[in-house]
Amino acid sequence: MFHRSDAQNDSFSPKESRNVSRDSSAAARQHILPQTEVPVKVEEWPLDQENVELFATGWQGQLERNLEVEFKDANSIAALDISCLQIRFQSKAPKTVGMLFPEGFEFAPQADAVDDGAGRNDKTKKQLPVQDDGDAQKRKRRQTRIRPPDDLVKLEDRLYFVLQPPLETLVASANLEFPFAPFPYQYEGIAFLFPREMAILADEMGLGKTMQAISTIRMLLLAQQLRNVLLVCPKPLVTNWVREFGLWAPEIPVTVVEGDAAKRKFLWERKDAPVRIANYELLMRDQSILDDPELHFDLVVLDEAQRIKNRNSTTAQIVRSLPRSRSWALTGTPIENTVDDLVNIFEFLSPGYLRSEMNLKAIGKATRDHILRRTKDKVLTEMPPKMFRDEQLELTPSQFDSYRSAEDEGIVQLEDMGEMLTIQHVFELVLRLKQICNFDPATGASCKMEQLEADMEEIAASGKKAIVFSQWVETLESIARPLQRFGPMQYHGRIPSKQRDGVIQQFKEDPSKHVILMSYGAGSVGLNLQFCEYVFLFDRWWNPAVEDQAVNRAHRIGAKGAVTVTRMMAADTIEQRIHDVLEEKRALFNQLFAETGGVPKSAGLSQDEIFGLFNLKTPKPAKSSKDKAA
Amino acid sequence: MDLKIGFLSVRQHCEHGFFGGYLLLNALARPLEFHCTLPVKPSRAQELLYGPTLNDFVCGEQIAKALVEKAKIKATIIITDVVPILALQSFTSQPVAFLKCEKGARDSAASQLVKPKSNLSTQPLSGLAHSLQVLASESNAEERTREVLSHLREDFDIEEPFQRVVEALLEAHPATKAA
Repeated sequence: MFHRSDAQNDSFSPKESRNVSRDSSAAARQHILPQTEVPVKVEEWPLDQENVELFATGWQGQLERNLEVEFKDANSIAALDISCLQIRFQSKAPKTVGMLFPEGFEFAPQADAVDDGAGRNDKTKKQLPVQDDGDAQKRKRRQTRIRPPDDLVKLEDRLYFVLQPPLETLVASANLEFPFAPFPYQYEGIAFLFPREMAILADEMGLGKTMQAISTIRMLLLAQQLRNVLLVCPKPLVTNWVREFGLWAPEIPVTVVEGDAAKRKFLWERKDAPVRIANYELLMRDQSILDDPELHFDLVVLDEAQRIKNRNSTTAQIVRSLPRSRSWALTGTPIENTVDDLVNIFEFLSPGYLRSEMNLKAIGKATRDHILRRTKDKVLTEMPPKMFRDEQLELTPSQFDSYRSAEDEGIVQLEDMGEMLTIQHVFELVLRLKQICNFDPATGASCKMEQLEADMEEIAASGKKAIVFSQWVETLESIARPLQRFGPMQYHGRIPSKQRDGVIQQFKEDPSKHVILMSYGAGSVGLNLQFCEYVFLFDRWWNPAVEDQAVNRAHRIGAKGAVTVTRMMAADTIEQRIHDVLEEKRALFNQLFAETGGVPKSAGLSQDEIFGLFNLKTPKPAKSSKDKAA
Repeated sequence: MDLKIGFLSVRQHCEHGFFGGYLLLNALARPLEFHCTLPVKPSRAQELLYGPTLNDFVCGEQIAKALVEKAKIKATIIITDVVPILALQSFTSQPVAFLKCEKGARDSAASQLVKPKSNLSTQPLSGLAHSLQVLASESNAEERTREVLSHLREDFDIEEPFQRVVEALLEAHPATKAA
């Protein structure tokens, strides 16, 4: 009652107060009011002793009250109604979510597998033989986990990958043998490819993209995640891929699609070929077969994927039309000239995923989870260094005369052409001048050749080997003659494909062969020449990415020592001017992959730049064209 | 021996409560089954009633029991990296062993999940490659644990699966990841 907040009921009525014990104290004349939130008006009553009825507090009255004690029979106590408050604790089990793993992830049974009793195949306690190269123990302790790609949304699908054991454990428990223990970054590459349906492995040349792709394919095949793989590569690299499959996945049968039309049709259609290798050119010939709606690949891998950088090329169109579930691209140069190169590779991976008009930051964000690129200096800290030496050579007098007259006449001719002038005309002049920088057509004199001979003397004397690159077969043949005493080998477009492996083998094994002469086209990709410590770029390619590929034939895993790259150029000539442009392009590539932003939209060699090599103005009709020259 | 190893762990989040995860592996460390709980937050009444034994009750009797009962595959042994789960031993016939992980901070650095503590009395198992303990009151747990572990591959890393469990918990409950 004391805690009621109703003002009316808070004051005792006189009638009620009669029964309350009286108190004569003044203080007791007042209502002792309960605590209320509403102000209460206290009424004063007359102090007539006869009529006055005192209002007292309850406890004061209780002091004078006789204590009434009620006695009960002891037998009746049991009948007292004692009420208990029941507090219920949450006792129901927590809610759970879960999943059973499909058996498909299990690696297929190996010959020496034993049943683990669960209906799945187990292995004995055999240890994976690891070729110890000093770091093997350290690598054994490493654990590389497969991470779900960002575009995987369903929790169950993500947990499927999150809960897989480290790759090292998978490899060891399945007794997968490798010729040598993979580097940690190579395991990371496998972990990157393994769960992805669209991926670009863009490691720098020489880091083992081939091995990483093959090992991932091997694991996916053994895990029965794949059954039908197509690998497309440039024709000269087919034998290299077959050899690498034999090395890294010896138990996987590989079918090379080749031969006449009937044989190829049979090879395309056979069901028992888990891995097919075909070259780009062949795809064009077999387009009708590939259009078969029943043909489907679980995975299509493009090697040297920069081959499809031109969206409208027939090769790119055919490759994009291949029916497939997964798409991977391997390339050391996802951007050779412009960001469009990357956009067009993504057209193969996921049409429409990238658009040319996207800014660089947006492209970087969209592609981050789909591209893996490592460079040697970041992952191979123990790898020998690559040293560049730019040799600026003075033309011989006869070369200089030939060069000067050719350039002067050429420029005059170009200027005279007026509006008829096209970029092809400029290219022709550039090529003619570059050839003169190599060898004087009149006398055969060559400042580069003189320097190369001197360098080769030293290289041969120390028992080392060198690679010389040129873009012309004629130049290579001209180089070969003065270098006869160094046993020059030749590897270019005029050497039949079937002889090429033999050339490489002989160059590698014959100690009298100190130099191999290669064209950029034939020798810049896919070859392992890490036993060479010297690379000469006798003339320069338009594109720095192609030059990098060429250099990395020697500077790759297994390189014996530092690789010295000599970039030869004739001073104060068109070569030097092109060199400056190439350096700018190299800077672009580095900028884009460093995600620093602020990169120009296109760093390709524009028509203005090509014409600018000769201080020519771009003809008006050509200026509107957005075609890139290189 | 048909080995099925259960890895059971619980992590505590200051805001969301307790999260339990149970991963069953075969002898090759391949995943067979996984279950995790939704967040479990003890009530105030439970906190008062259980006092210092609250973690044992929530982790061992509630979360661990629910997860083990939910699993379709029965584990040969259950290994945990948090002591309170040893309380599960009262409810299951499989041996439950606590592994004192060498790298206590193995949990993701980006996580706000911590291991709950306990005052349960444990008994270390000597002579094993790993630092394992069983509940002191369970007299035959030690022998059964040793028997099961003797069938394990030498290269089987019994610490590594807990990393998977914690990562799976973070994957299933993204809110527990640190900003």
